Amino acid sequence: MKKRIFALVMVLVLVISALAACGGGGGGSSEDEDTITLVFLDKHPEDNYRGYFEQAIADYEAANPGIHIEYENISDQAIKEKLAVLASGGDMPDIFFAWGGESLNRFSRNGKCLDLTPYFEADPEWRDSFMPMFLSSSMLDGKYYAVPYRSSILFMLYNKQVLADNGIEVPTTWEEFIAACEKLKGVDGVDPIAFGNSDQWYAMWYIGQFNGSFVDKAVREKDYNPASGEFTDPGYEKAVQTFLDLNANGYMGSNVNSKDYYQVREEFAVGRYGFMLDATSQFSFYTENMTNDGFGYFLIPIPTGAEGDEANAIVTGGSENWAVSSTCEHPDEAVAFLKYMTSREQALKQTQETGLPNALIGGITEENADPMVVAAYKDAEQYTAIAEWLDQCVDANVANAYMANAQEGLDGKSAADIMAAVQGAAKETAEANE
Amino acid sequence: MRKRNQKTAALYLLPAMLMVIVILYVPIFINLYESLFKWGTMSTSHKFVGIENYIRLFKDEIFYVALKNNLIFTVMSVIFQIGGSLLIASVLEAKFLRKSQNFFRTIYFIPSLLMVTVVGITFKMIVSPSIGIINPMLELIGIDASAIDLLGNASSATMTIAAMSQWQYVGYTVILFIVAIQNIPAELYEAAEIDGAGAVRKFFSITLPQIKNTILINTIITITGAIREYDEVFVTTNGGPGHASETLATYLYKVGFRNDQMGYASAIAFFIFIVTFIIGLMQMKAYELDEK
Repeated sequence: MKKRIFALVMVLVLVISALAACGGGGGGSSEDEDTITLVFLDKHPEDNYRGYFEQAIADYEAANPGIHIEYENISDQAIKEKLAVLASGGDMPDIFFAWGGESLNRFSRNGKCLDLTPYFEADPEWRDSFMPMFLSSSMLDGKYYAVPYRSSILFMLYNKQVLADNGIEVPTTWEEFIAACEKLKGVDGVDPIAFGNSDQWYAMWYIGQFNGSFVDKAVREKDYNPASGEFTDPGYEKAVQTFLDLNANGYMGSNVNSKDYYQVREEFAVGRYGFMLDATSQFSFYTENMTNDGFGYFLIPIPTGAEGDEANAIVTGGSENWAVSSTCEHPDEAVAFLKYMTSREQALKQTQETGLPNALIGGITEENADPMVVAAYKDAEQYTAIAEWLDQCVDANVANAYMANAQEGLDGKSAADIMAAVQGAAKETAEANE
Repeated sequence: MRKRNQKTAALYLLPAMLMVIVILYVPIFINLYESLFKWGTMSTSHKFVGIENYIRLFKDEIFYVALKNNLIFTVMSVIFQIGGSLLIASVLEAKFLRKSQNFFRTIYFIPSLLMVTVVGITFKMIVSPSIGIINPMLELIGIDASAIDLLGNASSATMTIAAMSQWQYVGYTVILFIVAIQNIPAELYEAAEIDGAGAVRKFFSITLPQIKNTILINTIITITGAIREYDEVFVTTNGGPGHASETLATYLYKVGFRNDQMGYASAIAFFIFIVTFIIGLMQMKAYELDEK
């Protein structure tokens, strides 16, 4: 009998411990006596960025003894997938990073993000401190779902030495740009444009920008909406063709599908390329590696034949944002923390210490930013429209069709076939969103 | 007394059985159920579509690309991790190599201890046309490597990843085969030698039949591993260029977690389960035949 009872006890212990193991883990906010813990998932693991964010959090915790921020920092690519996995498990972090446009909208639309509108209404000064074009990218159906903390605009960069060595003037038109590429193509050890697409997203910068040049605003707005996307306008195919031509004409060097953005920008910095498409948020890399005398920038030339109604006015760019989960148990504390992170004092510090341009009106000045970034933002005032990053502003299914097929395009697939695949994905997405 | 022992044994087995049912069997049925719906992780809609996801699966071009790639992985794995490993194991077990066997065994085994991410990133650099060493080596021996981009070209990406996978795991199966060969009674070989059998005859008439079970198990492990192939592809090409090196598992992941089409992803997952289940059944059948 004793043996039997012992066996029963052992079984119970095993079952309970197994069940305890199953039920363990889980994120979200938790309380240790009087301390409120907020889980914060971000995407700045790089050494030159991480330090600033960790220090800012430590300062906040020191000033607010009742708050503990559990900071998790993962890479660009990883955060896209991790957020989707967390959302599927219903276990969202209290505060999380999100790009603007559809990549945030899909969280907002499905009730994963806290509506920040009441907080903005209660503190209009905070709301009005952001540049409207960046704040608006977190808006859905008239409500705000995130706060922008970082802004970025695309420019075409050039290596001053490479252009000078080959007697090339900074291009101002598409024809001049192509002529410069043609000239650099013949130079030993130099390729005209730095481009690597093994991660697939870099092609989207070009195609997104060209979509803005070739396709009218109203058409883009309709197509970028998951519920009504068709992508049948001929301008989309022209945009893809313009991009593919840059590769087919040999301006991007060889083997673009096995190089990535990070590799080619290093090579650009040491003079392997003449031009590189990049965003203001990355200027600090070039300043550090080439100094301001080593590189320059110019507005991306408008391709010949681009007839979109915003062709002369549009540039690709956007904000990076922080959102609060709708399941956060301490929304007021989470918003208070975001207010601190996006306050003028912190935003100026962020730009000064990391080179990451903030999203505040008048937030980028000679005092806190590199002169090159200040000048770029001044030049960007010529643009009146902004196109969100293409891989972020359309539905994920459409974005992935675009990315995978554009990569095949660099390997020979035609622009028509690429767009046929995108149209198929858009149709599927529209049906799913009916 | 015997009855009581049986009850106690059943009681001890209960937690493990519960765990297996809850963690393994229930999710399989949930997965099958979910594959009959159109739904996403973000979306609140959960629409019953019957077998529509399965019809879509068999009409999906990328699915066939993935299936073909899994087949390439399977064939390559069987050739190298079974055929090749068996050959290496028997050579290492040969008398003249016994003294240096430890050295070779370690050399072959080390790659299987490395993390897939480390191996993937290293291979990516080795085969890169701009910074790698493969293309310059080809140029050295007079081959024009300007058009060779092993991971960047659709035609060579899958084979390159499969080759990397063989390099990593051949050593592991070599060890398993060596252990099995060492368990064969030495008398059998001695008797065969007295009868005048050569090395080849001994291999086919003694070694192979004696380690049949190990071969069978290794084959099943290798094949099911090849069907579930994910990590090497994810680290090196992420299924690209385009979808050229996609496998069923990478495609399932992308459909589910990137495109947020969980119903369709569940259908792909159920297909993978069915394939591996059939292979498992075949394994059990083969065992039965062996026992008979």
